[in-house]
Amino acid sequence: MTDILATVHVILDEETWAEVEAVLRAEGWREEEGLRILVGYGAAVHLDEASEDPLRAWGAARAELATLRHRAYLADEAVRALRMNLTGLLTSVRQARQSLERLEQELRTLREHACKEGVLVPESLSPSLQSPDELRRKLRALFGRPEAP
Amino acid sequence: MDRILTLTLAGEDLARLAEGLVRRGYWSLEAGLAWLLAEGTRHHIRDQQRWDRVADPAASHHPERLELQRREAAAHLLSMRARVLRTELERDALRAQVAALEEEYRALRDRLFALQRERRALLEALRERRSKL
Repeated sequence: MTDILATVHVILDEETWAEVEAVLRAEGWREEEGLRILVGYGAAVHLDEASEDPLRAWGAARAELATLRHRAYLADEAVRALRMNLTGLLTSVRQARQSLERLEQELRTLREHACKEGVLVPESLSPSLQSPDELRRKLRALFGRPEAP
Repeated sequence: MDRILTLTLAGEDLARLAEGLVRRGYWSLEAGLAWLLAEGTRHHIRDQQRWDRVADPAASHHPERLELQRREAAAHLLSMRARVLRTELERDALRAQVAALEEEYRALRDRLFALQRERRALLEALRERRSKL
């Protein structure tokens, strides 16, 4: 199976790079995008087989390009919304952890008082409500860095 | 001094380019891609001048104009496929992160509610006990 995306490194001599850079600047392309376009241009000239119906081939290419631009728009919007969502959630989780820490401390003190005064301490939390270790492992795998306990 | 460039392409496009380059006798993918980049740049520069000759709207189906349009569309397609795939991969990774965080937040909130219930019960029990003394 082919990888979805592949990265390769290409070495260019100084003279060719100057030509490439001039085109990128003139067209206003970012390097990453411009390099792909120029490789694609070279492929269109040298590797693509001639079509029997150039008009139809061009129409098909334009249609695919329009579809891709729409997909890019949707994906960009989703990424933007998800990033905002992520920022909000990270804040909520941090605040919830701090509240939990404070509450646990408060409860430890209350339980001590209760014990001293002979008060029957309510049943502790069920195991399902304890710290979600499995979830933390999952988060570590997704975010690639250790999660604070 | 030589310049090392990083090129990220859709895997299927890279496989297609590699096949085409092998057909043309290139056995090193990197060398073949460098050649395509150099050739693409030179043809792109040359074709910008050809565009001026075929810019007349009456020549909209002129074979030369069609060929230039095809080249341009094919080049942008190669770039767009990689760009779309990369953004969609980023979106999927973000979705997974958001889902995991939502799950963690729910678990934390459930635990908070449970501890709050426990605190209320303890305070109530302590109040009752003290009122009896």
